[in-house]
Amino acid sequence: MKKTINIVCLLILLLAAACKKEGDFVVKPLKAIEPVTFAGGYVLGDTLTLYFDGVKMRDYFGPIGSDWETTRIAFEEDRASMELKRKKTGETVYQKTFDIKDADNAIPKLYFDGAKMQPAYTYPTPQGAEYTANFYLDFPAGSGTADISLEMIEYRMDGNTPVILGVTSVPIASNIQPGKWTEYVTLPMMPTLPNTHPESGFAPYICVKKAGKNEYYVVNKDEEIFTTIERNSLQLQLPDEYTTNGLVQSYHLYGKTYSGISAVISNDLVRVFPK
Amino acid sequence: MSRLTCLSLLFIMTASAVLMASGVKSQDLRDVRVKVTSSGAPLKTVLDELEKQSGFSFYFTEEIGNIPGVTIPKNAHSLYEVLREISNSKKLSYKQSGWMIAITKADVQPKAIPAKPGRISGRITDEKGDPLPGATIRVIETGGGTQSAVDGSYVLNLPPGVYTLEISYVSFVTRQITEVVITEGKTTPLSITMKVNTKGLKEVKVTSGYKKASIAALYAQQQNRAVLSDGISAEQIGATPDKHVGETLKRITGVSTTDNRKVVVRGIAERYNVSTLNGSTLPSTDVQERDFEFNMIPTNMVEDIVVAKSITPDMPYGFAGGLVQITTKSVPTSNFLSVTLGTSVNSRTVGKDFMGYQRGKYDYLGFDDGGRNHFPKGLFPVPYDYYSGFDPRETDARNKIKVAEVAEQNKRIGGTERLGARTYQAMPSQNYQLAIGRAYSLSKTKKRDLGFVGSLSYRNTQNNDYIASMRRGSWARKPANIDDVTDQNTGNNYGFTTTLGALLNGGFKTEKHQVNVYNLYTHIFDNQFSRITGWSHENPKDDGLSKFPSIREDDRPKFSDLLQNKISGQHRLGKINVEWNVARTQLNTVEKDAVTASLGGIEILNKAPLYQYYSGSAYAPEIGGFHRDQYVYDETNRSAELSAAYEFRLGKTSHTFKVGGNYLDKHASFDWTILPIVGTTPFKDALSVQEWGNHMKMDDKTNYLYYRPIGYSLNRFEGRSINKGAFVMIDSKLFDNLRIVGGIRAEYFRTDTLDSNASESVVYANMKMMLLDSVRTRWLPSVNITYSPVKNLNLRLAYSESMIRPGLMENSQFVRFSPNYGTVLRSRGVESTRIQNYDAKLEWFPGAGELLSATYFYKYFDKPAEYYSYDQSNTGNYDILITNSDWAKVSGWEFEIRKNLGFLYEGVPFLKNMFVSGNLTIQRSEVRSRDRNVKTVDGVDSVYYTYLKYRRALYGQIPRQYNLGLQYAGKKLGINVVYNYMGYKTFITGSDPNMIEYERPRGQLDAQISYRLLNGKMEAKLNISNLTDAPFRFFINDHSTYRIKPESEGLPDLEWNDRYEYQYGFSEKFEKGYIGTANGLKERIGDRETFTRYIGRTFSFSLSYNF
Repeated sequence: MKKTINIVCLLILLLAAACKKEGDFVVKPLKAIEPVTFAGGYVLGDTLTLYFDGVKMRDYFGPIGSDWETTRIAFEEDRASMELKRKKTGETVYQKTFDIKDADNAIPKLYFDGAKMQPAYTYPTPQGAEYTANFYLDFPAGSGTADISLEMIEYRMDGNTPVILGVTSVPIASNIQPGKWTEYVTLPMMPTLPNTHPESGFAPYICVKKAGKNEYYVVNKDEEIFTTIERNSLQLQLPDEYTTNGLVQSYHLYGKTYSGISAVISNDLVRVFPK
Repeated sequence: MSRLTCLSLLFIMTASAVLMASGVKSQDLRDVRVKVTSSGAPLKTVLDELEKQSGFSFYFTEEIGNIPGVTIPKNAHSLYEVLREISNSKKLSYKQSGWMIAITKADVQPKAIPAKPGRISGRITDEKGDPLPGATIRVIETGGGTQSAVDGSYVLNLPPGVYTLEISYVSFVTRQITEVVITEGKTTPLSITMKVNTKGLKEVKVTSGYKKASIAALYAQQQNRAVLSDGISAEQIGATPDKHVGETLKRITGVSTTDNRKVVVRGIAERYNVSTLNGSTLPSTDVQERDFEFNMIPTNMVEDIVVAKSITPDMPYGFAGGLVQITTKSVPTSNFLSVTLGTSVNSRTVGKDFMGYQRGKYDYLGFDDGGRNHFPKGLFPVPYDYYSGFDPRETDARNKIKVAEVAEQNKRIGGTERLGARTYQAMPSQNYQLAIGRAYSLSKTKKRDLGFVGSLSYRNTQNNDYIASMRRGSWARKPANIDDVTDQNTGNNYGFTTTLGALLNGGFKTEKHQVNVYNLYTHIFDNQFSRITGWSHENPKDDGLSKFPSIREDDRPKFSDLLQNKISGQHRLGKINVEWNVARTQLNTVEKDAVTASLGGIEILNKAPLYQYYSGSAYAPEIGGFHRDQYVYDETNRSAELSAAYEFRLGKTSHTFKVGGNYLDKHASFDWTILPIVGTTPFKDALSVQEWGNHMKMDDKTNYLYYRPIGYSLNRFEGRSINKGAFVMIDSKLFDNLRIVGGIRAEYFRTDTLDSNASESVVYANMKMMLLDSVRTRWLPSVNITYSPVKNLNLRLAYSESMIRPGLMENSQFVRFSPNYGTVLRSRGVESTRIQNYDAKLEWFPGAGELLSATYFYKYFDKPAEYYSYDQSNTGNYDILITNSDWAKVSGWEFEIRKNLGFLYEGVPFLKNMFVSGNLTIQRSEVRSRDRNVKTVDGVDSVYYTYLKYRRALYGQIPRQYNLGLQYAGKKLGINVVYNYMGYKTFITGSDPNMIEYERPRGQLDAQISYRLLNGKMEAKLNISNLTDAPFRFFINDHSTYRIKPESEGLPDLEWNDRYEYQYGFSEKFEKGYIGTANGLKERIGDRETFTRYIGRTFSFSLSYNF
């Protein structure tokens, strides 16, 4: 009995000794929030994950905007250590340490080409009035190669519903292999086509299609044809009869799915890295 | 080390020292535990063994040492008992001197060391509870016995041991009670109910165990009550893991609970049930809802709980579902002193982070250390406009209240160091109880009994309820993107509760008079901290400003004191029996420094998200998302009852004529101080919330941060109600098998709102209350008929009318956000509800502690009050409000069984100790709802109603519920497994299925193993509750599960049933559905899961020791 009572007393003692008035703050107090300059950049070929002091912050794929959220940095301690790691390999491709005492915290513009970090994306200077473009198809393995073509869609309106009368296809690039930049191709002029119906009009789209097939690269179930075309199009600029200056465009093409709807996303790296 | 730790350490060390010292110092042979393994050997061998075990030295001659065949009985555990046995059996004597014991031959006839006898006492009564004087109590083992006194009481002195008692009385069935344990120097209580022998003089014996006799006594009371009732005895409660009454109630037929705190009887919600403690009503512990939270009463103070379901005129308080009568332990029949220690761990709490705001030094003791004192007297409102208050954009000259005055008020209120969530280590729960009972007989010739029961208890529990889904109230109803698994609203509710309880009941009784006093004090510190992370209905998840979920914190530290003092008397004056009582019940609750806080998640470079506390906006008129509050509620109930019953006979029939009256005065006040913290820049950058108080000096015009109470946030309610009643009734026993109890009761009720003001919002401050109660006196007839065609079988019929009166605060304009509902809870004015009750019950008591019963009931409610979800502005943001519907009808069946399994096969003694039990309630209800409208004629507002054509279920209704139990009650080992199931429940009602919230069916499996040690002095119990970790799950029939009826297109003002129909595969019940497409987007077509909460499995262990 004595032993039992002693054990119980010991247990109570342990319970009482563990009582704490102060706990650990859930929202950690900060020493300071300082401004930071982040010039943004671009990531393709893999996803880069940003870590601060070993804690994962966010993934970067595609454009890295110099958004409002990246203009400030919080210091719980005097220093904060930043790392960018490849998602596929875990390899650190960029790192930087910030100090609370630094007057100017800045991150230069970054470009990850799928293998390593570069100071910028490089491209040739446009020649004369020629329009050229290259493409980087960045879809998951097994998605297949792609063609890019200009689709001139002739349609007329039946009430509020567009009725497609015909499609004229002009090839721009064919058999694009995923995971690497294509050679620069010269872009054709925007064609002028005759109307087959007095009330018809033309809608030009630069579309991504499956290589060698008349199928759009991304197709969602039960979707209007115009919606499918829009979800597979990119804003590639073509020269026309009034064009006087040349233009270089470098399009990164990748897919995105939101709420069950997939679409092709395109970004021109020449605009992200202007000379 | 905190002061608490020091105090605890000091207490434990002192207690340990006292306990240990008593064993070391005394050299008392009774305290020296030994175990003889050499039984049968020569005495020398036995003494050598005792010497090694005890430390005593034995001195004896060789002749004595050679005495052979020394046998020690197994029940001799102390050195004293062993030596006594040796002395008696071998004609020796011994003498102790310090640590030496000399054994010598006895010169004369040896004196056996007398064992200190134990006692058994109790009362012998018939089935009607009347005493049986002169009943014979015989001890089978000794052949001795005694007879009961005039009042049926008896006392028997017996040596320690286990006995079988036989009780006999002329023309009554002789009963045998087995396994009655008599402990040295202690009294074992045992009251017996005898049954009339219907087989003439032929002797019939009924045998039952000690535990079963206690349960049988409860059933005997149930059998003999004039009203329909069900109950649970202390013995049955002790066989469950339940720590407080709220956990126990659901074990009773037809009773279920909400959150283990609020009682639902026959599927009828808490506001239609009345609770009494020792016969006096209990106040509502929730300021806004009319109910008593039963977790305030620990089960170890309870003698029994009986739920009356029909009404007699002498019942002073109206109810519709049931009258929950809790009786605490009162005058004991024997002396006792017991100590209980217990601890428990919860699978979702211990070992996990436990959050809360800064604790006080004495939280573990249940008291505030002053750290929550931020509500000085004399605070003034600071309206946000310059002409009546303070506008931070204006100059000091233009503002009525000056900057310095605001700064001074900030200083008086004090700092914000306590604010902000912290993480603590969750601790196992702990409970301790000391209980003492003493009984004294003041006369040897007359009955002059005096006694008291006292109890002190302490309990600290910590619970971490995981809220797996919160999609109620203002929270987002669905994920913005069905594929986004991160779009979830989740959280936790952390409960830190310290309960201190003290009970002191006493009484004095003679043959004709009895006076009892009851005193109960309960102090509870209940700190509920809710932290929900998610997206709101107004700001669903997106890639922009609502990328990260917001967090809402509600910290509600509540200190409650419940004190009940009552004195009651019973006097027999010839043929008149007079009963009276006077009681005072006081409830005081102080919610001190309750904090509502909002945190927003923003994204910066190295924090995604960075969470910061937001103050309210200094430019918005509302209270805002950050405020610290104090709510003080005081309620005092004074009651008195007096009745006189006259017994007379007419021929062969006996009757009791009873008249009486009661008076209940309830007075309540509720003061609230809500202190919003507002700023000119709501986000304070790197400033932590704990530092806010250091920046309230108002010296930086660009960044003001200050307390801004508004008129309606410094306000109060005060109300008083008077309830007076008088009754006349007759209780007639006709033809030996027919009993009719009937009469009428006149009840006067008046409630006055002395002071009432709104809170929280200027919108609600401008609302008017519409009170419609005008009839003050009601006449309430009732009749109960009991017919017993054969013994042990009752057929009961009952009719009664009752009134449910509004609670004092139910007609207050007070409005407050409820973390549980996810929205504000308010009243629209409540009027009294009149209920007609019809009951029919067939009950059979086949044996001791056995019961089979079936009941049918029907109730009609005139103006039932219900909790509605109400979307006043049709924005999708709804409030919960209480208001009256037109009428409701509730009908149903109840079944109960409790049966011993001994009849299966008599050759297995094991089965005689096994019971199966179960109860089932099936019911349905329909309500005619109404919409309240206001029209203005000649500038005067008047209310009119439009009535809904289609019926729906009553708020709080549970159509099906059952309990199953299997109990083994052995001499030492006890095993109890119980399963409680509750079917669909209407949690919140509404005029549209899209607003009606249901609770999904839930089953809970509990188990207990108990074992008695040390000759029954110690009992160890291991309880496991909620073995399957069953969650509480709620849902709403989502609009995606029904469609518009084609024929209703274009027709205006249609009710839901005319406009819509459920789609194929969907109904009112929960159907999870499937992922489909709506408006081009993927969406769940199925019912919306609004709230899911897991409470975890609890493993508790307790040790009780009876001295």
